[in-house]
Amino acid sequence: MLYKKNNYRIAIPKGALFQSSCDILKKANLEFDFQDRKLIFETNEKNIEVLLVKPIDVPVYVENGAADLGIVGSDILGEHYAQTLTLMMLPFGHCELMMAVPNDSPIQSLAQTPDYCKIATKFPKLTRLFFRQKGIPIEIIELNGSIEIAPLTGLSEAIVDLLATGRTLKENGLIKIETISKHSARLIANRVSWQVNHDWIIKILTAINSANNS
Amino acid sequence: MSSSFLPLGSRDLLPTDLIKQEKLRHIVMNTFKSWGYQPVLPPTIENLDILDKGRPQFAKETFKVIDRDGQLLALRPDITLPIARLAATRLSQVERPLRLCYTAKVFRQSPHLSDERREIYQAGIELIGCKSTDKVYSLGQINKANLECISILLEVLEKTGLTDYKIVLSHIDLWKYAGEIFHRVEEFLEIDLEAELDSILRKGDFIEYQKAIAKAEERCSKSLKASKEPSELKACFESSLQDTPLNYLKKACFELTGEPIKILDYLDHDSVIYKELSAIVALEEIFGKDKFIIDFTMRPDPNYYTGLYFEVVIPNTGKPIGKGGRYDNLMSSFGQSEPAIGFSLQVDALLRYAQADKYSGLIEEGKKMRIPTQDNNPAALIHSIKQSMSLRTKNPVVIID
Repeated sequence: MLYKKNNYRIAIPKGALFQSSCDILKKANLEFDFQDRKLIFETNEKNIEVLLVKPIDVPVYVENGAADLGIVGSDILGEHYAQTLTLMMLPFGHCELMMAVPNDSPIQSLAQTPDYCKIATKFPKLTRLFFRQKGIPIEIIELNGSIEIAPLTGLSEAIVDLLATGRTLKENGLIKIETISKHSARLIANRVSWQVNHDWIIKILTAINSANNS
Repeated sequence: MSSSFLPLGSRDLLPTDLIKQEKLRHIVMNTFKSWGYQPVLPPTIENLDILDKGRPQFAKETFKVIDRDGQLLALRPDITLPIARLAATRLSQVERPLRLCYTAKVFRQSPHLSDERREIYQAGIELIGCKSTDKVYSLGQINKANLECISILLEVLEKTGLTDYKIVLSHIDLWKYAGEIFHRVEEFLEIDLEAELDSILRKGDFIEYQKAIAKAEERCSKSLKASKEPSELKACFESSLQDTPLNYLKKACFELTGEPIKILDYLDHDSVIYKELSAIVALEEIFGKDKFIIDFTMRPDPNYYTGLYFEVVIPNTGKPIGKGGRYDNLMSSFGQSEPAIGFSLQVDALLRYAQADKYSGLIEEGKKMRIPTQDNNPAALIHSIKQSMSLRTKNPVVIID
């Protein structure tokens, strides 16, 4: 028997965007009681559920229709292709993807990047695209976390990572030399949901919009 | 990876799947035939350059084959293209309209998801040309073909046992609705805003869409301010910025989706696009309410579509299970100018979402008759075979054990 869902669902990311996502939903009159370890939450609207998933899984849930709407950073949309609709920018989750090197690195600017420079990153696609556009051949070392220690241990010469406050960078003796792209949170939708549940999606959009503007 | 494993995206069809698929194929093809459609089957391998007439993505998604002479060939990624070729060549002198149907596989490799299936079994129809002797095709003829095509689609979906499907309608000429001014803005700025907006909507990026319009608007008002001559365009911009066609378009991506009654109401009732879509929506009289949704932000994928475009969706399942539309210019690229319309459905998706029990045709073990034989008695074996043949007239399965 094929699973059929009857409720509207919004997927929100764990981690850095979690609190702001809850806040914006609250401003749009959608509230739920957060409990540790629980991953699906009923809301004050009886036919709306909120899913709590890993940031990179938000587009996956939305693309496949398991969630109608999702909140996700534009960095993830750029890195992991998903066929979804990007409906609007949300006013939080601002950060930039940047290139950083150790304080004492011989590389002090993008122009000084040597050919086949080793760059550690969680964002291989965006990094490759950027350096290809600049015409600089690089070698990407794909990591899943703690990117900052890659140059300190000799694994790479530089890193490409997200920068929100810059504290981690400073604590690890790194310095930013180039901005690659700027990012913030997006509201995304499944296309079939957009068509079939259009009135509901517009209602949520309008509520978020007026919450943003007030 | 060991060569004894299946390649990515491939599958073996086991008896249960194949029997269901055959039953469904039978229902679908019989419906097509009952409307006067005749089956055709283009070859699996085509010349690669046939794809130039399709969509740019085909180039990436197509499996390419090189023959002995170095000729580049393709496993067909689409069936409409080969059928259009067939209709324009060997069937060019056959009386119009040409009514053709098929069930066949297409072969694609998605550049994004490596394990997405690569062999897609499709069923569909193509309605090519019309009776008219002159070369101008009237709205009446377009409507007639549209309605026939959509009716067959609805009938097939009903017969397969699907219940909660929707047909989502769109139209290439959305931009015409934005009016003459839209094209004047394009001319004025020397940009192809239509193509730009279409490609942005195809990616589903409404933020980019807003930005593109805002950019055009800014360039427009800047250039208009600089030009001293009063023009109609200038007047239009200066009168009330709220009502400019570009401003209208800005809102359009959020307002041009929904129930047909609401959307049709927005459209100019004298426009061709209104007449085409309202004629289709009137089919609800036969097939029941709530079958249609209009979504103008849905832009057709292969770029050979020219007018009406539609997709078949099932609520809460995420992805469309079929699509179709008018391709009035494709035939001329094969040397024979005539209008055409068609659709294709994904057979696997139909089986997945239709009432599956309807298609289970496996014969239970208990209903199979078995005749015991002895290995080393040829005369008795001959007798058993003879006996089994007469038993098969009354029993569905007789096995010589």
